[in-house]
Amino acid sequence: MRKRIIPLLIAIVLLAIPGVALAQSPDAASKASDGNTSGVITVIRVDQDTNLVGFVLSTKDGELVEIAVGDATSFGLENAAGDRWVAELGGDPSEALLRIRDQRERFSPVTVTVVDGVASAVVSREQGDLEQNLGFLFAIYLVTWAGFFVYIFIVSRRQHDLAREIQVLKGQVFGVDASEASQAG
Amino acid sequence: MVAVPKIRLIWLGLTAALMALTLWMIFIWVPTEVNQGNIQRSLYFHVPVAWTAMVAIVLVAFASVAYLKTRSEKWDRLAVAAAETGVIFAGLMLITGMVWAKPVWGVWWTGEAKLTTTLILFFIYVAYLMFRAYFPPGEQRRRLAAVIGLMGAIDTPIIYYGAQLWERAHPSAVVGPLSDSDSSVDGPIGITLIVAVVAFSVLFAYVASERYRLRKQEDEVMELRRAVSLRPALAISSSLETTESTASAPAGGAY
Repeated sequence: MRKRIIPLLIAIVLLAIPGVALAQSPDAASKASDGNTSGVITVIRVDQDTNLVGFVLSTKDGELVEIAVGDATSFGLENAAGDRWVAELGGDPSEALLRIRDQRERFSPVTVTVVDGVASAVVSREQGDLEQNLGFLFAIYLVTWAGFFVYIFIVSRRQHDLAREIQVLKGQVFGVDASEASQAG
Repeated sequence: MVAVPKIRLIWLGLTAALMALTLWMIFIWVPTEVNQGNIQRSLYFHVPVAWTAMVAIVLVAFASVAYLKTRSEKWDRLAVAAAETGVIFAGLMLITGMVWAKPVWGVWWTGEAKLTTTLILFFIYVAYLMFRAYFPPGEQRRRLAAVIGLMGAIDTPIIYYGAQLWERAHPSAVVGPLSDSDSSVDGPIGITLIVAVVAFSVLFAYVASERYRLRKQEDEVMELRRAVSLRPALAISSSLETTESTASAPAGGAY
């Protein structure tokens, strides 16, 4: 039984890690339906010439939506400094790609208007609710510190218990009183 | 002997001072990130605990190799200490990441490679500790645990390169060799992140050293228990020897 544990664990690790790679299907996102969709950009699609052809939005509900863009897609995107860039994809495709990458890296939400399956407009979302997340922030710090303190408390208490047990056992082994053993170190 | 508690006290003080500085920087000094708002401050915890969780598994692997080479128990103790501390940090990495993802991505969890390989790392830690807990103590347990510890390290580079290899929702590296100049953080956010990483590294070293000390105590207790269990046998053997008996003392003990 014991001899089987290690090969089993090796097999699990060797199968699990490539399994993760295989599971990364690029078709996980659903096609966008006509209308407005808001979210943060998670994946950027480019063609062989590194021209922007689309991107994937993660909506507030966690749904991944595939957005296709064309030359007529107009952009109205703000950078971190608040400068707004307005242009069509066909007019400046390289700048469009840079701006989309910037939006993605900053988790800056965008609103996309889809017409006939292709984005007609991609704009920075004017009002997001990402600023109202103090509850989540509080939860993160509470969990982290509680985790550390509980673990350190358990380790400390166990150290104390073992130190006492060592004293008692030394007393038994060396034939002296536990308190004498502790004084003797 | 007297210097040891003093060093621990200084270390604890240094950890507390660095943590206090980190908290001051996170909540007072560093400006609020313009897009994510306050939830971005959670990354000053998430990134350092992720960093230390991966350092821990590398340490487990290093100590495992050293043990297999030298068979010195101190390396085995170091591997246990790093693994147990690592599982705490890995657990916190997963929790803090999920709580950040909910408001930003809209979901607690996605099945992308970076997240899944991180979860595998957590399970590797758990498997390592479970194996040690259920396998009988001795040389065989230490040797096999070292092999499992080495296997765990395979996952580390995959996690690190995960966001680059499979581009998904998880952001790419913003510090270190994989970050490019466009995405790297700098200014107050970068400084705060670096200070937080240093503070958590010191905290990890402190917690792991305490766990190492506990492991040493556990080994000492085991040895003493063994000695106690052998005492009656030795006493009998001794009395038999005094009566000039030819019988030898029974071998073995509790383990």
